[in-house]
Amino acid sequence: MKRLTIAAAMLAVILSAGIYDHHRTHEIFSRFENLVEAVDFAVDSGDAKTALARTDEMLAWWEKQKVYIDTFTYSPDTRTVSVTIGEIKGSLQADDLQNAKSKTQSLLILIKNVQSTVDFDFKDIF
Amino acid sequence: MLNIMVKSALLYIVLLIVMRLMGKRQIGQLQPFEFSITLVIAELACLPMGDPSIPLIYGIIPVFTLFIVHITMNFIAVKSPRFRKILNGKPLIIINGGNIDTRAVKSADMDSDDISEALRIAGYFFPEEIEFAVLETNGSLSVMPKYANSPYTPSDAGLSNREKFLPYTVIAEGRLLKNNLIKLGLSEQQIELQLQKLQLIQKQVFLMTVTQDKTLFVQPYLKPCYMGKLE
Repeated sequence: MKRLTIAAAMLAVILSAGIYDHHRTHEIFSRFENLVEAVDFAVDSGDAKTALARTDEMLAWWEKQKVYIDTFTYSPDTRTVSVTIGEIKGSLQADDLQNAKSKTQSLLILIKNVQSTVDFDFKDIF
Repeated sequence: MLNIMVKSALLYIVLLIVMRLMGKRQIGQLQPFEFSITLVIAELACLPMGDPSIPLIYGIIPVFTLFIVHITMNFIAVKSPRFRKILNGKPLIIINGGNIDTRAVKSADMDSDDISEALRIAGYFFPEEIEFAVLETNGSLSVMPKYANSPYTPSDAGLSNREKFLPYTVIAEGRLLKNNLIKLGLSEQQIELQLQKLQLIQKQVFLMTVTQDKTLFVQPYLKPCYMGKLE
């Protein structure tokens, strides 16, 4: 009976943690998409200075979120995300808006890939 | 390198906790599903140990999940004989009334060499000595010898039943086990007095056991053992 109780308690903890993780991951990547789209909009408008400021903000925000992502989930692409943001920043500093645009598009795809890796998806079970 | 060391130590503790919770059985007594879970748990715990990029939680969650599955299966098996039969199978009588059931042996994927080996491990070199042999669900063979080949017991000699007592450890590696003293209804002073008579102090004793009928065994670290009665 004692072991059954412990098992039930563990199951409750794991399920609760899993549900919390699912919501948190979903929130992180939804916000991330919004931040990338904001940068993309600034790049489309030709405003490199605003795009660079938004990229700096995005990078600082992402580095904080990455701590949580790396602690509780695993994806080799989280480091690639940081690198890609760095590349966007470099392109904007060099006033290369075309390159920055292509990098933001890559980043949007990368975010979706990372999210599908770290978030719960029924088809991933198989 | 340091993070691998810390991860390994933490995962070892997690494994210890889970194995402790899963219960006391020796490896030879595990049912097939228990054995497979034990192997898988060990394998899963190794993943974060060997790869620094894999989070610790990727070792802990699977281990605890398998523990939960194991406890659930055990619980259902205890409640349902039918489920138990599906999970563990059922024992098979290999030798029945002195005769080897060759069909049962074949159904167990065994051959004559396997039977001979299992009987020898059980201590019987001659198949004709065996009345019954049962292949248990954990793969071991339980053997009942023929009456003429059974070990001689006091009841065979017509000796009346004598009560047997369990020895309780009262000192282990120099430390007094007070719980066992309470079970025996003894006091610390009695033990101290007994040790004084043997010219010993508590710290010098590796093992001391006492039974309900005051049978004493004392093994000091550096002296020969003493067997007698608690005075």
